[in-house]
Amino acid sequence: MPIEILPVPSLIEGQSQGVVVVIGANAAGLMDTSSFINVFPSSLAATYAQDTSANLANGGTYLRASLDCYYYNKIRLAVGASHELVVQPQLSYDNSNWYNWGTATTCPAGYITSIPGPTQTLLLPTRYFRYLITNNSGTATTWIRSFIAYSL
Amino acid sequence: MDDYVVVKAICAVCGREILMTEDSWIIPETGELCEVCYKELMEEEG
Repeated sequence: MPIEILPVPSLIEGQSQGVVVVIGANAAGLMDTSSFINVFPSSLAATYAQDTSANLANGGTYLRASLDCYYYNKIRLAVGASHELVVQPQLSYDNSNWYNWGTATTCPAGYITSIPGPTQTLLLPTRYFRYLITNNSGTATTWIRSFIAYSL
Repeated sequence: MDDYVVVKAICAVCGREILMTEDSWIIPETGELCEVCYKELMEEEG
């Protein structure tokens, strides 16, 4: 089983400690969850939790279940994939009507991309949050793995 | 209305209602799928 140690510059930036991400993929390039280990910096490790782990077909879209942020108002999102994809956070005040939150972020292949920046936080102006991931790499199915950290 | 019963879409494969509180997947030329149907589809293609 091939294992790659991937660069994660966007998360290392501004952090006092480095980040190690070990990602396992099978021969077809799809994720192998049994060999995926992620270690965030100490300043983030306590709050980041794995959110989604899946394979996303080329041209396909993943729409996360709405997250009720009644008890949170700050969110950080980190997304990694084996092929380029686009992540668009969305907000809703009623869990029914959704609006794009800022512009979509393009996440390059082989990186964990922090949204927004590694030292920034998304401040929630409404109650519900979700994000849309689109595999528009034009090449192949990609594995995706996302992490969320939220706080008051 | 209870926030947790808001319907997001109808699964294009099984016809089940997908709630806002559930993940969903959109496949071109197929439509929006619930998690169970999506994973079955991916296993078939894998």
